Amino acid sequence: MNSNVQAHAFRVEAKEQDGKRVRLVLHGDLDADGAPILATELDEQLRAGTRWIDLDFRGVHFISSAGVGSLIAGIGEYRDEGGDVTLNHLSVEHRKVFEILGLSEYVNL
Amino acid sequence: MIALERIDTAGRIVHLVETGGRGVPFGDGHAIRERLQGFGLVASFEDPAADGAVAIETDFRHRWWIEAGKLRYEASFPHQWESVSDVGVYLGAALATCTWSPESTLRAMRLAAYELAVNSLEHGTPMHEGARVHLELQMGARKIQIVFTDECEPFDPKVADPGDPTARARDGANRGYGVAMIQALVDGMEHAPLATGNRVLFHKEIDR
Repeated sequence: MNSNVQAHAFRVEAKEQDGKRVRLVLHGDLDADGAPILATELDEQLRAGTRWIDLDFRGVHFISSAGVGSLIAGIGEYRDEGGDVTLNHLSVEHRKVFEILGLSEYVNL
Repeated sequence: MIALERIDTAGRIVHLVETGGRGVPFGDGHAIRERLQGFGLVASFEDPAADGAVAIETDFRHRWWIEAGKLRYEASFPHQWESVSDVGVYLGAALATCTWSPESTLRAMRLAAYELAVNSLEHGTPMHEGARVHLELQMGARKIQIVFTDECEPFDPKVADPGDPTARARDGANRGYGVAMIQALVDGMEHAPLATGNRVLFHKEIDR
C-alpha cells in the first residue's frame, strides 16, 4: 500500500525555541481536519510572543486547500506583528501546490 | 487492524482479516458494523473462517471491477463531514491499484477528489435525508477519470469560484483556495447540475 494515499492524522511535534523564534515539526495530513490544529498552534505561539516560525514539512503527507488557507492566514498574522512563517523541507509535490496556486512568491519556501 | 483482504467476484462478500497494521483500515472489531452501515452496507457477521478471515454479507455499494479494459471503482458515502477522510482513504486505496501511473498523477487526482468532497460536504445543501456522495473511478491505459456526484442543491461553479488565490492571500484569507487548486490539478473538468444533485467529471492524462 502506497503510504501517500492513506490517511494520517495531523500533529505538531518537537518544538524548539530560540528567543522569539520557534521551530515546529509537522506530521500527517494537513487537510480539513488538520488545518484547525495548525491554526490553533500558530495562534497560541503568537499570543505567547513568538514572532518567527520555522515549519518543517518532512513528515507531512498531504496538503489540501484548507491546509494552504491555515498557512496563509497564519503568515499574514505573523507579518502584521513584524515576524514571518517559513515553510521548510517541502517535497517537490507540496511545493507545486503553492506554485499552481500562484503563491510561491507570497510565502517563504 | 481489521483490513480488507478481498472481495468475491460477485461483489457480495467482503472478507476482512487482521493484518497487524497493514492495509486499508476498516477499524477495530467493534467499529466494523457501524462503519459498514455508514457506507450503506448491511452487515451480518458470520463465524470466522478457518483461516481467520471474517466474511460479511453486504448490500454492496463499494466495489472494484474491470470493464472494457479499464480498472474501475465506485463507492458511495453518507453526506456528512465524517465522510471527508473516508473519501480520501478509499479513493486513495483505489488509485493505488493504478500501478502504471506515476504517483504524482495519483496524488493529484486524490487531492482533486478530496477538494470536491470537502466543497460538497461543507457547502452543499442535501436535497433529502439520507443523501450520499458517489465516486466513480476509471483507470485506463492513458487516462484516469473520476466522476463525483452528490445529492445536493445544484450550484453554479462560476458563482462559487472565489477568484484569484494570490489576491486572497494578500488579504490573509484562510479559505477559498480549493476551486483554483482543483482546476490546476486536473487536465479537464466538467460540471453538470442534475435533477438529483451535482455531477463533476474530471480527468488527468497519465504521463509515463
